Amino acid sequence: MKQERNAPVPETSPGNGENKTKFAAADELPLGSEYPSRRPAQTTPDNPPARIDRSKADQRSSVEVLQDVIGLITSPEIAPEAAKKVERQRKLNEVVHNMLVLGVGLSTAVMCMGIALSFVFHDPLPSKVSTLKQVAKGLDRLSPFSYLSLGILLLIATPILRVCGSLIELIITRDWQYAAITLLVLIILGISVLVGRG
Amino acid sequence: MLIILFIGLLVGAFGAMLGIGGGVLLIPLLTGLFAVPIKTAIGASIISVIATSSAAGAVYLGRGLTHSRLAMVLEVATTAGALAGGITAVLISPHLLELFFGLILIYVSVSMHRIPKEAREDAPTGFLNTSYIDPLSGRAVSYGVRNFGKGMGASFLAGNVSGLLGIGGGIIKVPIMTLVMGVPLRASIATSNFMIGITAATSAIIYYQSGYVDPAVAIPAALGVLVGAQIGTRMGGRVRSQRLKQVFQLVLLAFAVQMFVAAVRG
Repeated sequence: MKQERNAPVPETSPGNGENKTKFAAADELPLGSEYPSRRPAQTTPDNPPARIDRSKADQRSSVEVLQDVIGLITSPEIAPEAAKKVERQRKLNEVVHNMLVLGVGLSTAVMCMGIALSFVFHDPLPSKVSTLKQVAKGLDRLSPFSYLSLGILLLIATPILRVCGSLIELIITRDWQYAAITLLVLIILGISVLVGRG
Repeated sequence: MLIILFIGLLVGAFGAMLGIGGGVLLIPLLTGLFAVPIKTAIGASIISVIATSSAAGAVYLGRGLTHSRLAMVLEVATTAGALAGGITAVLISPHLLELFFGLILIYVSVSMHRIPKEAREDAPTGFLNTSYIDPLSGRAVSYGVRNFGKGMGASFLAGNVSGLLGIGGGIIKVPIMTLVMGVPLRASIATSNFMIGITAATSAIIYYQSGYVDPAVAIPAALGVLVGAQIGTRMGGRVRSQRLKQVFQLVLLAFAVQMFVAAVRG
């Protein structure tokens, strides 16, 4: 497994310089540093990639894994495409991850602020949520009511923004098939907004 | 408010330890102890489901366990199901909801007994192939997706139950993904959890606009469950006791009886 992780670069790169840079780029993604568990296979300088023996039966599965992750290493001409795919997937995951963390953090903070405000003003917690208009009106008056509703709305918005984020990322990477699927999810969400009103 | 926060903490912690969503515990407690109307309890639960799913979803994504492309496809089914479920829940009688909830509690209690095991050797199938690094063994696991149609159907059902009753729906999705679609258990849990956020958001919008989201209940519950789930996840590795599971199976059955009583009394 260890030496094979690096296999495609030297194996496929002769006469294909672009290929090599693609793999390097995928490996240098900032994401990798954040999630070390995803890439435990590290370069070992004492294992030159040339020593791979793919005929070994016990290594069969890792070869398959590699083909899956990095693409069919046996056909150099499609390898850059596969590497791009891995890179794309990582970028997509990174965008989504950040949005989720940000959304939960922000909504929790706003909810806590709402609770704090209601303690300051000795208001009991309201038992009804307010509409967007009322929320906007109440924010500058430091109305606990508005902050509590806003916190809930931000929480509901978090997964929705997550989907919007993936959609934008998918459009940028021209992954039309998945962009269409994601758009469909957003349309269903849109319907639920309309239905809830009526 | 503080009591609801505390209950949320407990629900979050035990839910995470037992691998069940908080909703099945939270809703009966809210209706039973605080006489919260079931639709308001569902509204509160769906909000806390979004919170835990988003928080846990970020962690799973970081570990690379989530099959986000499979999730994107199945989300179409779960959100459509949630849309239908949410509309139904707002319209139908609360007693009918209590009846359904009692039934799902029995289902959860029974299915806790047989937490799905890895069904077969995972292998790439050529459809939505992916791989992840198993956090325990450090081994790369590669797999593809089977029986996609059945998976979509089950996802619709899971979304529907989620929208109708305010639970996550992982209890339906995870066994299907593992046993039918050939997705490894870890990846199933991560992927199911990832989809729950957007599924819950779909019905939460309907509940919010229909006035069933009560900040005085939903906010302390959501904050409590969120913090409790973090505690539960940390303790989860240590508490593997079969006894705990059996106790909660009985608790869920008791909740089911409570729901049936509430449904019949009218």
